[in-house]
Amino acid sequence: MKCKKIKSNLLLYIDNELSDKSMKEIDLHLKQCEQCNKEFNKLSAVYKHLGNKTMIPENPFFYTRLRQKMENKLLKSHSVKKQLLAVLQPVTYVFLLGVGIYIGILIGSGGMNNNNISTSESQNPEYMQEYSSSLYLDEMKLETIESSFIAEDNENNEDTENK
Amino acid sequence: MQAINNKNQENEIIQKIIEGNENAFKLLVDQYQNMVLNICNSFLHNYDDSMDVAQEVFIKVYQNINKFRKDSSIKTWLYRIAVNKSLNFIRNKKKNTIFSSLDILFETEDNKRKKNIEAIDTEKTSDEKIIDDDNKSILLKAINTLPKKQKSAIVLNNYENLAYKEIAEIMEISVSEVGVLINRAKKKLYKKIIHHF
Repeated sequence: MKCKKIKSNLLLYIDNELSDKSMKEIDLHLKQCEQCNKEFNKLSAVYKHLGNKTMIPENPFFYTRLRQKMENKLLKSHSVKKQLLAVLQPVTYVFLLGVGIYIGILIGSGGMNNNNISTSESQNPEYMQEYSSSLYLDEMKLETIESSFIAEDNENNEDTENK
Repeated sequence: MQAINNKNQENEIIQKIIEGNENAFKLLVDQYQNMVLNICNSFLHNYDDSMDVAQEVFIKVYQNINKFRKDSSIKTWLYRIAVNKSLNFIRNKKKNTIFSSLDILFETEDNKRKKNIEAIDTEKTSDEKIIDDDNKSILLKAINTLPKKQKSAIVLNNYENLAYKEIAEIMEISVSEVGVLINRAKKKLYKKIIHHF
């Protein structure tokens, strides 16, 4: 086997995961090749720590600390909700007030009248003619109440003179 | 203390926890705290961090117990949560180290003094131990650079001594995929370790 192939199989060699034939070949190569042997020593010095860990013993206060943490989290989430509510409440009120004012302005300016039919009808000459004639139904537009009384008075005078 | 020995007892305990029984939850924690703590330690190699993450694991269990599918065992579920929480912790820690590296620029006199004391302590230890610690940290750094799935597979196999079948169940993948992940992880580890020297 060439050095490159040996090196790529070194970890499998350390883990004893190669075939017997390959294991023997690498064994032999490491005895003969100084460079590969050096690399093997460095690698195994690091790799031997894989799987080495200090076992943590049981902690008698684990549950107590866990409960404490859970309660703290619960309190924190409650206080976050409260803070959020404290900010959101005035914002909602201001927003609703703004919407109310806007609607009020729209109603006042007549901007909310989207009666497209009347607009289109006002551009129709036949409709306008009919509309203007119907205006005569409202006598107040043609004659004020004072002139009407004067005219009536004049008529009465003329009648008495004729008699 | 009553122990959870079979599937029926396990289901009974879970049902009680869902109903809000505190004692049932305590029983579950007492039974599995050591296992969860040591799984976290396999990934984090730090007592305080492992303690923190183990607590987070049980908080998640408490909050999501009604989502637990009873077709797998509670042990497998705990393994799964512990692995995910540990990997997330490592990822977040990596992000934080970027910011904490900025703190070096504003290092206080107190910190400098602490570092000097630590340096003197280190001198007292034997050369062999220093080399051993160095090698260990090279390995841990190399493991931490592995992709999430490869890292989980190799840690569960080598630190938790789990069989491929158990790892497959925890990671919800096939046994052959576990083999592939471990082989790839070993090849990457080889490159990382050799690259270090």
